[in-house]
Amino acid sequence: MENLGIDAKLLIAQMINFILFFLIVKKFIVKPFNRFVDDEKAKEKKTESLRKTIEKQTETLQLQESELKQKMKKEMQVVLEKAKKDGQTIKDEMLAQAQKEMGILKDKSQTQLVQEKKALEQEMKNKLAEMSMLVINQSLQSVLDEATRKRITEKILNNSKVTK
Amino acid sequence: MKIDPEVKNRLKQLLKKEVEQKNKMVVIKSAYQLDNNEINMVFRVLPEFSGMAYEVVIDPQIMAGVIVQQGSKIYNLSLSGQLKSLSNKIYEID
Repeated sequence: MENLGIDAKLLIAQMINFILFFLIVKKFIVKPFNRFVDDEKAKEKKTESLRKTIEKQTETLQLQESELKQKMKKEMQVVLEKAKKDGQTIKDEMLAQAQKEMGILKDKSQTQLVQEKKALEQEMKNKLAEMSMLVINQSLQSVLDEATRKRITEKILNNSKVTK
Repeated sequence: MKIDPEVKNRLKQLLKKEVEQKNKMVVIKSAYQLDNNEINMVFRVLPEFSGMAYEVVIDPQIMAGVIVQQGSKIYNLSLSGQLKSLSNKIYEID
């Protein structure tokens, strides 16, 4: 070996050196690096799983939101329909009530009018009768002389219609 | 103020007598002075008063005819009475 120019001691020393280097690299660099890579892989896996879960949840939520929206829309429509119906009913009732009250008022005012007309007619008749009597009385008072009065008295007594 | 009971009684009797006399008296109301013939005619129409004392009261408002009154009884045989009854009939017409 020496003839080949190879120093056995140096070779052994270099081999030992290499083995030591290999062991040190393996222990202090490769292992932590591998661990780091594994950790990263695990993290990535976890993140992926989380992402999938979130996506699933998002989809579910979207679905739920859509269903909820549909439901709300339906309920809103039902409520609107009901409100419309109630409104119409109230409107009809109010209209009927107003018409009823109007009818009553109309009847009342008509009755009142008829009564007032009747009262007015009666009053006019009374006034006319009163006036006529007044005119007759005044005329007779001024026209009747004693002879006529005597004749009338005689006639009344002969007819003898007694008013008690 | 107290009134002596005796005076009160006498007053009562006097009042009673006066009222009785008034009630017995026949009042004939007329628009003019009635003559005997007309007064007789009145008593002929109302025989229940014949022979009773009477007085004639002139009231131009009754125009013609007579109103005979004795106490609470009144017989209206006047022109104004007939007009009044006519007026009442007009009021009663509907």
